[in-house]
Amino acid sequence: MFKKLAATITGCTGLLRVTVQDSHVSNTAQAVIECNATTLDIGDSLTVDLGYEGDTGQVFFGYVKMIERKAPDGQYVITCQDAMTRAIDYYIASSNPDAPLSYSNIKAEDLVENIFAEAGLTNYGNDVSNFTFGVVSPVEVNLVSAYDWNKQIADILAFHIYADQTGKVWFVDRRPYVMVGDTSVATITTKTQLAYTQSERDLRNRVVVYGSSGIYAEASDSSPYLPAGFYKTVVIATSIIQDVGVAQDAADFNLEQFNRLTKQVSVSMEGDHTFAARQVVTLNDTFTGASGTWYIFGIEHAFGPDGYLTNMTLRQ
Amino acid sequence: MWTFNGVRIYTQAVDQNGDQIISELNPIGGGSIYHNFGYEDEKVGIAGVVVGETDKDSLLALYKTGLSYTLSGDLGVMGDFFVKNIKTKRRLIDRQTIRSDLPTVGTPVYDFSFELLEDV
Repeated sequence: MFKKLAATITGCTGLLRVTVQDSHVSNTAQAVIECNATTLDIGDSLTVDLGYEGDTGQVFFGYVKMIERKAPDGQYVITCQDAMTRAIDYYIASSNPDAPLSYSNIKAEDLVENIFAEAGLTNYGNDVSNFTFGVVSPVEVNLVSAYDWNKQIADILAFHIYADQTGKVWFVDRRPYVMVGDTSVATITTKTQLAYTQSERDLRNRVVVYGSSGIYAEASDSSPYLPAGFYKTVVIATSIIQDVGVAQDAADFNLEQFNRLTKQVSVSMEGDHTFAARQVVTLNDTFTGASGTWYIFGIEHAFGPDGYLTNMTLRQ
Repeated sequence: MWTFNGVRIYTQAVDQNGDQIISELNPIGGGSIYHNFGYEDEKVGIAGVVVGETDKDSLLALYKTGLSYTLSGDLGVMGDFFVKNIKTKRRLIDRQTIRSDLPTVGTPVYDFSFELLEDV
Protein backbone atom coordinates (compact mmCIF):
# COMPACT_ATOMS: atom_id res chain seq x y z
CA MET A 1 0.00 0.00 0.00
CA PHE A 2 1.39 3.39 -0.98
CA LYS A 3 0.18 6.69 0.41
CA LYS A 4 1.33 10.19 -0.33
CA LEU A 5 1.58 12.33 2.80
CA ALA A 6 -0.18 15.68 2.80
CA ALA A 7 -0.26 18.53 5.30
CA THR A 8 -1.53 22.09 5.47
CA ILE A 9 -0.33 24.44 8.18
CA THR A 10 -1.36 28.08 8.41
CA GLY A 11 1.41 30.39 7.27
CA CYS A 12 4.04 27.68 6.73
CA THR A 13 5.60 26.39 3.52
CA GLY A 14 8.35 23.87 2.87
CA LEU A 15 7.22 21.64 5.73
CA LEU A 16 10.00 19.41 7.06
CA ARG A 17 8.44 17.90 10.16
CA VAL A 18 5.52 18.45 12.54
CA THR A 19 4.69 16.89 15.90
CA VAL A 20 1.40 17.44 17.71
CA GLN A 21 1.04 16.19 21.30
CA ASP A 22 -1.88 16.20 23.71
CA SER A 23 -2.81 14.30 26.85
CA HIS A 24 -5.36 14.17 29.65
CA VAL A 25 -2.81 15.52 32.12
CA SER A 26 -1.12 18.19 30.03
CA ASN A 27 -2.49 21.70 30.51
CA THR A 28 -2.28 22.39 26.79
CA ALA A 29 -1.73 20.53 23.54
CA GLN A 30 1.49 21.45 21.77
CA ALA A 31 2.55 21.55 18.12
CA VAL A 32 6.18 21.85 17.00
CA ILE A 33 6.60 22.68 13.31
CA GLU A 34 9.85 22.63 11.33
CA CYS A 35 9.67 24.36 7.96
CA ASN A 36 11.67 26.36 5.44
CA ALA A 37 9.52 29.48 5.38
CA THR A 38 6.78 31.07 7.45
CA THR A 39 4.70 34.23 7.65
CA LEU A 40 3.69 33.51 11.24
CA ASP A 41 4.53 35.81 14.11
CA ILE A 42 4.30 35.39 17.88
CA GLY A 43 0.68 35.28 18.99
CA ASP A 44 -0.73 34.37 15.55
CA SER A 45 -3.37 31.65 15.47
CA LEU A 46 -2.91 28.61 13.28
CA THR A 47 -4.39 25.26 12.36
CA VAL A 48 -2.57 22.04 11.54
CA ASP A 49 -4.12 19.57 9.09
CA LEU A 50 -2.37 16.24 8.58
CA GLY A 51 -3.03 13.11 6.60
CA TYR A 52 -2.74 11.81 3.07
CA GLU A 53 -3.49 13.10 -0.39
CA GLY A 54 -7.27 13.42 -0.52
CA ASP A 55 -7.70 12.66 3.21
CA THR A 56 -6.48 15.29 5.65
CA GLY A 57 -8.04 16.55 8.88
CA GLN A 58 -7.45 19.14 11.54
CA VAL A 59 -5.43 17.89 14.50
CA PHE A 60 -4.57 21.20 16.16
CA PHE A 61 -5.71 24.77 16.67
CA GLY A 62 -3.62 27.13 18.72
CA TYR A 63 -1.28 30.09 18.95
CA VAL A 64 2.39 30.66 18.17
CA LYS A 65 4.42 30.87 21.38
CA MET A 66 8.02 30.68 20.09
CA ILE A 67 9.85 30.93 16.75
CA GLU A 68 13.43 29.71 16.39
CA ARG A 69 15.50 30.35 13.25
CA LYS A 70 18.41 27.99 12.69
CA ALA A 71 21.63 28.49 10.75
CA PRO A 72 23.10 27.20 8.51
CA ASP A 73 19.97 25.11 7.81
CA GLY A 74 17.82 28.20 7.36
CA GLN A 75 14.97 26.32 9.01
CA TYR A 76 12.26 27.64 11.30
CA VAL A 77 11.14 25.75 14.40
CA ILE A 78 7.74 27.04 15.52
CA THR A 79 6.29 26.02 18.89
CA CYS A 80 2.56 26.45 19.39
CA GLN A 81 0.08 25.76 22.18
CA ASP A 82 -3.66 25.30 22.04
CA ALA A 83 -6.37 27.74 23.13
CA MET A 84 -5.94 26.84 26.82
CA THR A 85 -2.72 28.87 26.75
CA ARG A 86 -4.93 31.95 27.04
CA ALA A 87 -6.19 30.71 30.42
CA ILE A 88 -2.67 29.76 31.51
CA ASP A 89 -1.30 33.20 30.63
CA TYR A 90 -4.22 35.16 32.09
CA TYR A 91 -3.39 36.04 35.69
CA ILE A 92 -6.27 37.36 37.73
CA ALA A 93 -5.13 40.25 39.90
CA SER A 94 -7.63 42.78 41.15
CA SER A 95 -6.56 46.42 40.91
CA ASN A 96 -7.97 46.85 44.42
CA PRO A 97 -6.93 44.01 46.76
CA ASP A 98 -9.94 44.81 48.96
CA ALA A 99 -12.37 44.30 46.07
CA PRO A 100 -11.34 41.08 44.29
CA LEU A 101 -13.41 39.20 41.72
CA SER A 102 -16.03 37.28 43.74
CA TYR A 103 -19.06 35.07 43.18
CA SER A 104 -21.93 33.90 45.39
CA ASN A 105 -24.30 30.96 44.96
CA ILE A 106 -22.84 30.02 41.63
CA LYS A 107 -22.87 26.61 39.96
CA ALA A 108 -19.42 25.16 39.36
CA GLU A 109 -19.90 25.06 35.57
CA ASP A 110 -21.00 28.72 35.55
CA LEU A 111 -18.04 29.74 37.72
CA VAL A 112 -15.64 27.97 35.35
CA GLU A 113 -17.33 29.58 32.35
CA ASN A 114 -17.00 33.05 33.87
CA ILE A 115 -13.31 32.55 34.65
CA PHE A 116 -12.62 31.27 31.13
CA ALA A 117 -14.44 34.33 29.78
CA GLU A 118 -12.13 36.58 31.84
CA ALA A 119 -9.30 35.11 29.75
CA GLY A 120 -11.19 35.68 26.50
CA LEU A 121 -12.26 32.05 26.08
CA THR A 122 -15.96 32.29 25.35
CA ASN A 123 -16.39 29.23 23.13
CA TYR A 124 -17.27 26.91 26.01
CA GLY A 125 -19.06 23.66 26.68
CA ASN A 126 -19.81 21.82 29.90
CA ASP A 127 -21.49 18.96 31.72
CA VAL A 128 -23.85 19.60 34.64
CA SER A 129 -22.04 19.23 37.98
CA ASN A 130 -24.70 19.69 40.71
CA PHE A 131 -22.08 21.59 42.75
CA THR A 132 -22.66 25.16 43.96
CA PHE A 133 -19.96 27.41 45.41
CA GLY A 134 -20.15 30.62 47.41
CA VAL A 135 -23.14 29.43 49.47
CA VAL A 136 -21.95 30.58 52.91
CA SER A 137 -19.69 33.44 51.82
CA PRO A 138 -18.54 34.76 48.42
CA VAL A 139 -15.82 32.86 46.61
CA GLU A 140 -12.97 35.26 45.90
CA VAL A 141 -10.83 34.76 42.81
CA ASN A 142 -7.55 36.67 42.98
CA LEU A 143 -3.80 36.18 42.46
CA VAL A 144 -4.23 33.03 40.41
CA SER A 145 -4.23 32.19 36.71
CA ALA A 146 -7.58 31.44 35.07
CA TYR A 147 -6.32 27.94 34.26
CA ASP A 148 -5.14 27.14 37.80
CA TRP A 149 -8.43 28.35 39.27
CA ASN A 150 -10.57 26.28 36.92
CA LYS A 151 -8.25 23.29 37.30
CA GLN A 152 -8.79 23.52 41.05
CA ILE A 153 -12.57 23.44 40.57
CA ALA A 154 -12.26 20.48 38.21
CA ASP A 155 -10.02 18.57 40.65
CA ILE A 156 -12.48 19.06 43.52
CA LEU A 157 -15.32 17.59 41.45
CA ALA A 158 -13.17 14.95 39.68
CA PHE A 159 -14.10 16.80 36.46
CA HIS A 160 -11.76 17.69 33.60
CA ILE A 161 -10.95 20.89 31.69
CA TYR A 162 -9.33 21.00 28.26
CA ALA A 163 -9.32 22.74 24.87
CA ASP A 164 -10.22 20.66 21.82
CA GLN A 165 -8.69 20.75 18.32
CA THR A 166 -11.06 23.54 17.26
CA GLY A 167 -10.20 25.85 20.17
CA LYS A 168 -13.34 25.23 22.23
CA VAL A 169 -12.77 24.83 25.99
CA TRP A 170 -14.63 22.23 27.99
CA PHE A 171 -15.52 21.49 31.63
CA VAL A 172 -16.75 17.90 31.67
CA ASP A 173 -17.23 14.81 33.80
CA ARG A 174 -14.42 12.94 32.14
CA ARG A 175 -12.20 10.48 34.02
CA PRO A 176 -8.83 9.31 32.60
CA TYR A 177 -10.19 5.84 31.92
CA VAL A 178 -13.19 4.17 30.29
CA MET A 179 -16.42 5.20 32.04
CA VAL A 180 -19.83 3.57 32.09
CA GLY A 181 -21.68 4.68 28.97
CA ASP A 182 -18.55 5.29 26.88
CA THR A 183 -18.76 3.97 23.34
CA SER A 184 -15.87 3.36 21.00
CA VAL A 185 -15.50 5.72 18.05
CA ALA A 186 -12.90 3.67 16.15
CA THR A 187 -10.84 0.51 16.18
CA ILE A 188 -7.06 0.60 16.20
CA THR A 189 -5.56 -1.27 13.27
CA THR A 190 -2.14 -1.13 11.56
CA LYS A 191 -0.32 -1.29 14.90
CA THR A 192 3.48 -1.15 14.51
CA GLN A 193 4.45 -1.34 18.20
CA LEU A 194 2.57 -2.13 21.38
CA ALA A 195 3.31 -2.46 25.13
CA TYR A 196 0.85 -3.29 27.92
CA THR A 197 1.57 -2.43 31.57
CA GLN A 198 -0.33 -2.51 34.84
CA SER A 199 0.70 -0.41 37.83
CA GLU A 200 -0.55 0.71 41.24
CA ARG A 201 1.73 3.78 41.22
CA ASP A 202 -1.16 6.24 40.83
CA LEU A 203 -3.57 4.28 43.04
CA ARG A 204 -4.92 6.20 46.06
CA ASN A 205 -7.45 4.49 48.31
CA ARG A 206 -7.96 7.30 50.83
CA VAL A 207 -9.02 10.89 50.03
CA VAL A 208 -9.04 13.61 52.69
CA VAL A 209 -10.74 16.95 51.98
CA TYR A 210 -10.07 20.11 53.99
CA GLY A 211 -12.44 23.00 53.32
CA SER A 212 -13.02 26.30 55.06
CA SER A 213 -12.90 26.44 58.87
CA GLY A 214 -14.50 23.36 60.42
CA ILE A 215 -15.33 21.75 57.06
CA TYR A 216 -13.64 18.43 56.29
CA ALA A 217 -14.45 14.99 54.96
CA GLU A 218 -12.82 11.66 54.16
CA ALA A 219 -13.46 8.63 51.96
CA SER A 220 -11.48 5.41 51.89
CA ASP A 221 -11.70 1.82 50.79
CA SER A 222 -9.47 -1.21 50.90
CA SER A 223 -7.67 -2.15 47.73
CA PRO A 224 -6.97 -5.69 46.53
CA TYR A 225 -3.64 -4.38 45.20
CA LEU A 226 -2.37 -3.08 48.57
CA PRO A 227 -1.78 -4.82 51.91
CA ALA A 228 -4.87 -5.10 54.12
CA GLY A 229 -5.32 -1.95 56.19
CA PHE A 230 -2.78 0.01 54.10
CA TYR A 231 -3.87 3.34 52.63
CA LYS A 232 -2.22 5.59 50.10
CA THR A 233 -3.64 9.06 50.77
CA VAL A 234 -4.28 12.12 48.64
CA VAL A 235 -5.38 15.45 50.13
CA ILE A 236 -7.60 18.17 48.63
CA ALA A 237 -7.33 21.40 50.61
CA THR A 238 -9.19 24.53 49.56
CA SER A 239 -11.12 27.21 51.41
CA ILE A 240 -13.78 27.45 48.70
CA ILE A 241 -15.40 24.24 49.99
CA GLN A 242 -17.81 25.70 52.53
CA ASP A 243 -20.26 22.84 52.98
CA VAL A 244 -19.77 19.40 54.51
CA GLY A 245 -21.92 17.83 51.81
CA VAL A 246 -19.72 19.30 49.08
CA ALA A 247 -16.61 18.12 50.95
CA GLN A 248 -17.96 14.57 51.22
CA ASP A 249 -19.00 14.47 47.56
CA ALA A 250 -15.52 15.66 46.58
CA ALA A 251 -13.95 12.90 48.69
CA ASP A 252 -16.27 10.23 47.26
CA PHE A 253 -15.85 11.27 43.61
CA ASN A 254 -12.08 11.47 43.89
CA LEU A 255 -11.85 8.12 45.67
CA GLU A 256 -13.78 6.58 42.77
CA GLN A 257 -11.30 8.19 40.36
CA PHE A 258 -8.08 7.27 42.19
CA ASN A 259 -8.82 3.90 43.78
CA ARG A 260 -8.03 1.78 40.74
CA LEU A 261 -5.19 -0.05 39.07
CA THR A 262 -3.68 1.75 36.11
CA LYS A 263 -3.93 -0.44 33.03
CA GLN A 264 -2.02 1.22 30.24
CA VAL A 265 -1.17 0.40 26.65
CA SER A 266 1.42 2.28 24.60
CA VAL A 267 0.72 1.78 20.91
CA SER A 268 2.12 3.12 17.64
CA MET A 269 0.03 2.91 14.50
CA GLU A 270 -0.07 4.32 11.01
CA GLY A 271 -0.98 8.01 11.27
CA ASP A 272 -4.68 8.78 11.52
CA HIS A 273 -5.87 12.35 11.98
CA THR A 274 -9.29 11.20 13.26
CA PHE A 275 -7.76 10.00 16.53
CA ALA A 276 -7.59 12.56 19.35
CA ALA A 277 -6.94 12.58 23.08
CA ARG A 278 -9.98 11.84 25.25
CA GLN A 279 -11.68 9.60 22.70
CA VAL A 280 -12.61 6.02 23.49
CA VAL A 281 -11.40 3.43 21.00
CA THR A 282 -11.28 -0.34 20.59
CA LEU A 283 -8.04 -2.29 20.73
CA ASN A 284 -7.59 -6.03 20.44
CA ASP A 285 -4.12 -7.54 20.47
CA THR A 286 -3.31 -11.23 20.76
CA PHE A 287 0.39 -10.67 21.56
CA THR A 288 -0.13 -8.77 24.82
CA GLY A 289 -3.71 -9.78 25.62
CA ALA A 290 -4.89 -6.16 25.64
CA SER A 291 -8.50 -6.05 24.49
CA GLY A 292 -11.73 -4.09 24.71
CA THR A 293 -12.40 -0.37 24.85
CA TRP A 294 -9.69 2.06 25.88
CA TYR A 295 -9.48 5.76 26.68
CA ILE A 296 -6.93 7.77 24.69
CA PHE A 297 -4.98 9.24 27.62
CA GLY A 298 -2.22 10.73 25.47
CA ILE A 299 -1.54 11.10 21.76
CA GLU A 300 1.24 12.21 19.45
CA HIS A 301 0.88 12.79 15.70
CA ALA A 302 4.42 12.55 14.29
CA PHE A 303 4.69 13.62 10.63
CA GLY A 304 7.91 13.81 8.66
CA PRO A 305 10.39 12.01 6.39
CA ASP A 306 10.02 8.92 8.61
CA GLY A 307 6.34 8.76 7.70
CA TYR A 308 3.15 9.64 9.56
CA LEU A 309 2.71 7.80 12.85
CA THR A 310 0.15 8.20 15.60
CA ASN A 311 1.54 7.18 18.98
CA MET A 312 -0.95 6.79 21.81
CA THR A 313 -1.12 6.00 25.52
CA LEU A 314 -4.37 4.21 26.31
CA ARG A 315 -5.96 3.55 29.68
CA GLN A 316 -8.80 1.26 30.58
CA MET B 1 32.80 18.96 -25.14
CA TRP B 2 30.77 20.47 -22.28
CA THR B 3 31.11 23.76 -20.46
CA PHE B 4 30.36 24.74 -16.88
CA ASN B 5 30.29 28.46 -16.30
CA GLY B 6 31.98 28.69 -19.69
CA VAL B 7 34.93 26.50 -18.65
CA ARG B 8 35.62 23.60 -21.02
CA ILE B 9 35.24 20.06 -19.70
CA TYR B 10 36.00 17.07 -21.95
CA THR B 11 33.24 14.89 -20.54
CA GLN B 12 33.62 11.14 -20.19
CA ALA B 13 30.51 10.29 -18.13
CA VAL B 14 27.29 12.03 -17.09
CA ASP B 15 24.94 10.74 -14.36
CA GLN B 16 21.48 11.99 -13.54
CA ASN B 17 20.07 10.70 -10.23
CA GLY B 18 16.81 11.14 -8.40
CA ASP B 19 15.49 9.98 -5.00
CA GLN B 20 11.99 9.74 -3.67
CA ILE B 21 11.58 10.04 0.14
CA ILE B 22 9.65 6.95 1.14
CA SER B 23 9.37 5.47 4.62
CA GLU B 24 8.26 1.91 5.23
CA LEU B 25 5.95 0.94 8.09
CA ASN B 26 5.59 -2.72 9.03
CA PRO B 27 2.43 -3.18 11.12
CA ILE B 28 1.90 -6.20 13.33
CA GLY B 29 0.34 -8.90 11.19
CA GLY B 30 2.53 -8.21 8.17
CA GLY B 31 2.40 -6.20 4.99
CA SER B 32 4.35 -3.04 4.24
CA ILE B 33 2.83 0.41 4.14
CA TYR B 34 4.77 3.04 2.25
CA HIS B 35 4.49 6.74 3.02
CA ASN B 36 5.72 9.18 0.39
CA PHE B 37 6.95 12.41 1.97
CA GLY B 38 8.34 14.01 -1.19
CA TYR B 39 11.41 13.74 -3.39
CA GLU B 40 14.92 15.07 -3.76
CA ASP B 41 15.63 17.25 -6.76
CA GLU B 42 17.73 15.70 -9.52
CA LYS B 43 21.46 15.45 -8.96
CA VAL B 44 23.89 15.45 -11.87
CA GLY B 45 27.32 13.82 -11.81
CA ILE B 46 29.94 14.82 -14.36
CA ALA B 47 33.29 13.08 -14.91
CA GLY B 48 35.73 14.49 -17.43
CA VAL B 49 39.09 16.01 -18.30
CA VAL B 50 40.13 19.62 -17.85
CA VAL B 51 43.26 20.97 -19.52
CA GLY B 52 45.40 23.72 -18.12
CA GLU B 53 45.94 25.40 -14.78
CA THR B 54 43.64 28.33 -15.58
CA ASP B 55 40.58 26.20 -16.25
CA LYS B 56 41.34 23.99 -13.27
CA ASP B 57 41.51 26.97 -10.90
CA SER B 58 38.36 28.48 -12.40
CA LEU B 59 36.38 25.31 -11.69
CA LEU B 60 37.80 24.84 -8.19
CA ALA B 61 36.66 28.35 -7.25
CA LEU B 62 33.02 27.56 -8.01
CA TYR B 63 32.20 25.44 -4.93
CA LYS B 64 32.82 28.30 -2.51
CA THR B 65 30.55 30.97 -3.92
CA GLY B 66 27.04 29.73 -3.10
CA LEU B 67 25.98 30.64 -6.63
CA SER B 68 24.65 28.49 -9.45
CA TYR B 69 26.26 28.25 -12.90
CA THR B 70 25.14 27.14 -16.34
CA LEU B 71 25.93 23.64 -17.52
CA SER B 72 25.93 23.18 -21.32
CA GLY B 73 26.37 19.90 -23.12
CA ASP B 74 26.18 18.37 -26.55
CA LEU B 75 22.36 18.58 -26.44
CA GLY B 76 22.25 22.21 -25.37
CA VAL B 77 21.87 24.05 -22.06
CA MET B 78 20.99 21.66 -19.23
CA GLY B 79 20.24 24.33 -16.66
CA ASP B 80 21.85 26.13 -13.73
CA PHE B 81 23.53 24.08 -11.00
CA PHE B 82 25.25 24.50 -7.66
CA VAL B 83 28.49 22.64 -7.07
CA LYS B 84 27.85 20.21 -4.19
CA ASN B 85 31.33 18.70 -4.33
CA ILE B 86 34.28 18.57 -6.70
CA LYS B 87 37.27 16.25 -7.00
CA THR B 88 40.32 16.66 -9.15
CA LYS B 89 43.43 14.58 -9.83
CA ARG B 90 46.34 15.53 -12.03
CA ARG B 91 47.39 13.01 -14.61
CA LEU B 92 51.08 12.15 -14.63
CA ILE B 93 51.70 12.87 -18.30
CA ASP B 94 54.18 15.25 -19.93
CA ARG B 95 52.29 16.19 -23.07
CA GLN B 96 48.72 16.73 -24.28
CA THR B 97 47.06 17.12 -27.62
CA ILE B 98 43.49 17.77 -26.37
CA ARG B 99 43.70 21.54 -26.64
CA SER B 100 45.61 22.90 -29.58
CA ASP B 101 45.55 26.45 -28.16
CA LEU B 102 47.74 25.36 -25.25
CA PRO B 103 51.37 24.07 -25.39
CA THR B 104 51.65 20.38 -26.11
CA VAL B 105 54.45 19.98 -23.59
CA GLY B 106 54.13 21.26 -20.05
CA THR B 107 50.35 21.83 -19.95
CA PRO B 108 48.84 19.96 -17.00
CA VAL B 109 45.83 17.70 -17.54
CA TYR B 110 43.34 17.00 -14.74
CA ASP B 111 40.65 14.38 -14.17
CA PHE B 112 37.60 16.12 -12.68
CA SER B 113 34.40 14.82 -11.14
CA PHE B 114 31.50 16.96 -9.91
CA GLU B 115 28.23 16.45 -8.09
CA LEU B 116 25.83 19.21 -9.13
CA LEU B 117 22.49 20.23 -7.60
CA GLU B 118 19.96 21.84 -9.90
CA ASP B 119 18.94 25.42 -9.08
CA VAL B 120 15.13 25.11 -9.22
